[in-house]
Amino acid sequence: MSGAAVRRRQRHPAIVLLERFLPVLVISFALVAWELLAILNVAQKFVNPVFFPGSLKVAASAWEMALTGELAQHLGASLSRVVFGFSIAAVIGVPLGTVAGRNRWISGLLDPIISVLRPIPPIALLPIMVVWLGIGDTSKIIFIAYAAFFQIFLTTYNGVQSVEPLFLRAAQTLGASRWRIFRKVVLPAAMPHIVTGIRLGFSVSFFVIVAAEFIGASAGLGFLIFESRVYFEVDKMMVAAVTIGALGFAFDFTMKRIERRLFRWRL
Amino acid sequence: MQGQTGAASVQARGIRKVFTTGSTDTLVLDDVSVTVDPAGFTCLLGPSGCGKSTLLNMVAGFVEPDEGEITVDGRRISSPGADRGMVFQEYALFPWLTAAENVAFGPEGRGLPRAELKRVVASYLKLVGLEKFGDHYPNRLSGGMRQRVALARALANQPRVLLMDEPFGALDALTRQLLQEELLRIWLAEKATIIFVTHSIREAVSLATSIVVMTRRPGRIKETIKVDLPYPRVQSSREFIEIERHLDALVRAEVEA
Ligand SMILES: Nc1ncnc2c1ncn2[C@@H]1O[C@H](COP(=O)(O)OP(=O)(O)O)[C@@H](O)[C@H]1O
Ligand SMILES: [Mg+2]
Repeated sequence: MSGAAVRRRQRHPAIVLLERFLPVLVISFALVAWELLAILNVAQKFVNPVFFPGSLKVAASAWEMALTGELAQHLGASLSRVVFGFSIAAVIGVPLGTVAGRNRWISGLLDPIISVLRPIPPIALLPIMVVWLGIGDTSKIIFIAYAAFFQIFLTTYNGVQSVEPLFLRAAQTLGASRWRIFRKVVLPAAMPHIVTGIRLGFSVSFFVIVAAEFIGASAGLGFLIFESRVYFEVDKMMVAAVTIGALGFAFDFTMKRIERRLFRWRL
Repeated sequence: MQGQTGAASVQARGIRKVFTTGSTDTLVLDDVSVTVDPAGFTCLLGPSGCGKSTLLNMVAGFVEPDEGEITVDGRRISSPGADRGMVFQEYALFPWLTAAENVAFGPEGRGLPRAELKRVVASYLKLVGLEKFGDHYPNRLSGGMRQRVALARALANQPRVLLMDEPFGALDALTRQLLQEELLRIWLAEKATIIFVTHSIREAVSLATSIVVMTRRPGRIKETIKVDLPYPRVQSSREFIEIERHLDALVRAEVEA
């Protein structure tokens, strides 16, 4: 430990600085390369330049869409569906995963159902949900909820099941009741898994919302991509894609920070 | 212990245990009967795999005997309970709780008022010399400190019997020696009934008032030896070495048999 600290102190400050900003550098480099490629394409016509806007053009479109409120409208539509669907998934997934992880009867009932449903990519069920629930928001929200549920349920279930038996024994010899063991041992022990499940569940929600909005939506980032295709507005498609990427990244980043703070005892 | 009227007596009578894994049955304990003196320090000594942990886990209530019964103060044991505290070799501290919160776990469950709880936790942390480390998480503590916290946690719940399964087995020699001395000090002060599992002859002779030697699997009781040397015991004394030699012969016969 002290060895590592000493070595770190000896490293050149310029290298430390470089390492800190490496991700930013890499992304900047990629954006420049993209723009150069687009300029080259205009000269050489590898593909129709309309289909391949440079990073500056995309940034300009994003700026314009932000000013007109177009971006906010689509972003809002997607986000509200994601938040709705994800919340349903979390509200059902966490308690059900917890109970199933503690109760052999319930897990025995759920296990076969989940084993059969899990290998089916949620997207495969989207058209069925549209047939059942119509083309509006309901089917999209339920679809997201379904996809995120699996992630949240399974991670929670595994977390609760993998609680170190030694902890349970220790609590028993300290005279803890079943309820106290659940609240004070099982839940805190499984909490890192549960929070990870929630983070992954949210990521899944973002993953599938785009597909859901390809079908019968009038707003949303997925709709924006699909709609722009008709008018060859590749820049708008890219704005939508990058927005989704940035949002997912920001959420992941925040959640990981929260996790690190919440579970400091793990370090 | 503190606040208890006398220490508990523990009895195992005619214990038999078979573990079944797949299609093979393993007879682990066969007709084991042990009487543990109240306020005594009893060591279970035997080659590894002879069933010491199994027997201790039965007293704790984690494992059911196939035949026979275990009683504490005459009452038959069927499940784990607060009257039998346990210290595990792997410490088993709750990593999401600080040292003080770990120690508080037992008494808090009994609904001790806040102020009282604080006082109890402080006194037991002090008992194991960790009054300054109450707000440390276990992963920031050394192995020896963790085991001290685990001991304080078990004691703070005021069990009638303290069960210890090779509690110092994972510690380095020096730390082990220190903790043995500390355990003796605490035991003499609190007049606890202790059942202590070990496969170290020297550890048994250093600590115990009574040493129960087990045969190799299937574990039976080979011999019970009373040790009435005064504490602290001098490992180079003639009596110490004599007992050590005797035990060595007994255990050696088991390992080589
Ligand atoms: N839950 C179990 N299932 C099957 N076999 C077990 C189980 N617990 C212990 N055993 C076996 O019983 C024997 C005695 O184990 P244990 O009581 O841990 O011995 P010791 O503590 O003396 O080393 C060993 O052979 C071990 O493999
Ligand atoms: Mg053992």
